[in-house]
Amino acid sequence: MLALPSVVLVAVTAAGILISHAWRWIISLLMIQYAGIFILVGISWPFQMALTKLIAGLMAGVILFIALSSLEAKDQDQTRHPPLLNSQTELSGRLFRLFAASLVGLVIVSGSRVIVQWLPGLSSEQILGSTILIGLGLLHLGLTSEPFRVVVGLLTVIAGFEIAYAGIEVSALVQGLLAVVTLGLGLVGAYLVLAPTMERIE
Amino acid sequence: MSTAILWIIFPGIVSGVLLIFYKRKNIVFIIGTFVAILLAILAWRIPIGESINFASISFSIQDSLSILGRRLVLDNNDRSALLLIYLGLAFWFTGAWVARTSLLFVPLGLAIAGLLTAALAVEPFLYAALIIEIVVLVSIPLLSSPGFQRGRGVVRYLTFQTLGFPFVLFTGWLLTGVDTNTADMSLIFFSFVLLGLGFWLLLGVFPFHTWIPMISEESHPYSVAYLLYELPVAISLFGLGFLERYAWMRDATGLFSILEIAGVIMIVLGGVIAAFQRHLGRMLGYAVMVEIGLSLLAVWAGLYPAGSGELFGAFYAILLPRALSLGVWALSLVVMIRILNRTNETQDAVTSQGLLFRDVKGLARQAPIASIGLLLAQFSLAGFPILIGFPVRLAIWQEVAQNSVISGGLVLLGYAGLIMGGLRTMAVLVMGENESPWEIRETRSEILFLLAGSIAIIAIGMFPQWFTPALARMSESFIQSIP
Repeated sequence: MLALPSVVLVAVTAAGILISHAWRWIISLLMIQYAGIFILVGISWPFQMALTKLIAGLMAGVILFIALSSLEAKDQDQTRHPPLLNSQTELSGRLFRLFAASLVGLVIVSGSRVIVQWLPGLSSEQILGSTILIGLGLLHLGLTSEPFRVVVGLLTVIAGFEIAYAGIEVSALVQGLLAVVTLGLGLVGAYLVLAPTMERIE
Repeated sequence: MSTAILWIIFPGIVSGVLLIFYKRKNIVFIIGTFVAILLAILAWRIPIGESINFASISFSIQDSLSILGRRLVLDNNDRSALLLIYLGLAFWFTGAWVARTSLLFVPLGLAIAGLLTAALAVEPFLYAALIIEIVVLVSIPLLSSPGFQRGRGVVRYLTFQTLGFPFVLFTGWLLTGVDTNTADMSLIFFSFVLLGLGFWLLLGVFPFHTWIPMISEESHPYSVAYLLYELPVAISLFGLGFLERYAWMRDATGLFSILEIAGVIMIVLGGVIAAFQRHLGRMLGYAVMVEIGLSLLAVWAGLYPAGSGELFGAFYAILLPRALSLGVWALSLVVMIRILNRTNETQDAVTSQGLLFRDVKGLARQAPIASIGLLLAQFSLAGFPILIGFPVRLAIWQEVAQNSVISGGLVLLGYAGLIMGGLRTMAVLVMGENESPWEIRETRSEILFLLAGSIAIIAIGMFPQWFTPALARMSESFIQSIP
């Protein structure tokens, strides 16, 4: 019953992440996105196992939030660091990203019927949610080289893969390793954002 | 006691402890090197699954450990691989002391070795893709040091490696379907495409190679050389696991054509760009691309359906020349950077960014030992006669040329490019604008390590029978496991 609203949720949040410029919005949308992922994974997995996806995703979001908050505080104290993200919210840039996301969405919706035949173990909602996240995540990666955005794009792509993989593999070890990868990406994102401002190791 | 505790969990724990005390540089280097040598000796001497009597205590080391319903298995067949991992680690740690690597190099290096061992041991073997991804995440601080502006290469490296593993995991599931229905050609084709794409990304094969020269320019040369040695080997061994387990894959001539094409592309691209390269750090990256191509050709030549499998030993035999040459090359670059910067900084201020030809003109007059080491390493990887890299490369070149004259010609073109790059490097290092007097500005420890590495490059090249047969025999366990 919640499957279709979850697909809409992940689509809206992934598109929101793509067009948003403010890091607080991006992280908030990423964390909300994991609620949709939790529901879609829960179609194939028991509640407790699906919950680990939500927890790992939320923790990755919190790690990124703490890192960026600390960087922002440093930016306010000292002006030597460049601004984290371009805070200019140009309408043309957003419109372009929204247009590109719409094109990707159209391709996904038309192609998902073919994928359903390849993956009979998955529901059509899971396939749609998965391909939307993978498609928009890849689009995000193609449009940026900023470490924070790249890590968010990678988390989105991996989340899409996890929805599809949940339907074909139910292994506690894989689930644990995927959670480690999600958390690891969050930590690496935080590290890459903060590394230039950190004290040199003497 | 199980093998997984000894070679996976123990180095992981030591890594965690060393990470806490990372500022005590000398102690960390000594403990890390000692642990790596100890684990290599244990891999060499301790029989797995048999009773061992030590000081009136009898015990045995079990070959498997269960974790979350899956197993980590390291048996007697894996001992040679364990020896390779931990002896290699000891080699890199020893050089790291002189190379002024990041203080995190030893703790993270131990963690990476433990994780690579876990990738070797995990069953089902497909899960190794996830462990290799964790290795990539752990390696990021080695490439992007705290306090320094990060480069774009690190971000690209993270992106391509992270995008690669889902393809491989997903293909693993598809292959179970192929196993039950080998007549489904569309499924086989789809599996090949996904698997190929996954390994294409993970190995950095064209057009996903761009991060290799980028990180070679931006990061500490020694850390880069270590990673560019370890990671492709681990990924290649993982790829061989597919050939070992799926008999129909070994019979697919299409797969071998892809291996040959990918190998030739990497050698030509890396070699030709190296010939025109003006940056010593990036040149190392292009040499690594050639090495990745050579590994692919070694697998192709050894396992090609028409072949006897004898040449497969070349895949393992190229590892020692590669490790030694990359280590000496990277150490030489570090010494050059130190002399150019006129600094004695003991930490990871070292990056290859100031190594353009215009910056190193005539540097051989101030750093003759490092220059000799650099050139020997470069010519060795280019397959120059009497150097360590020559004998195995010759065997692979012959096999490629006998199979296809075009491929053979292209491979020679790539290697000619690498030699051209070496000659240009030599010219630039020797011919300065000012005829300044020759002097040795390397420190004693630098001279010791560089001379030892340079002598080894020549000596093993002149007497390949010392090491090559032993390394080539490592392929026997793989060949025997093929039904």
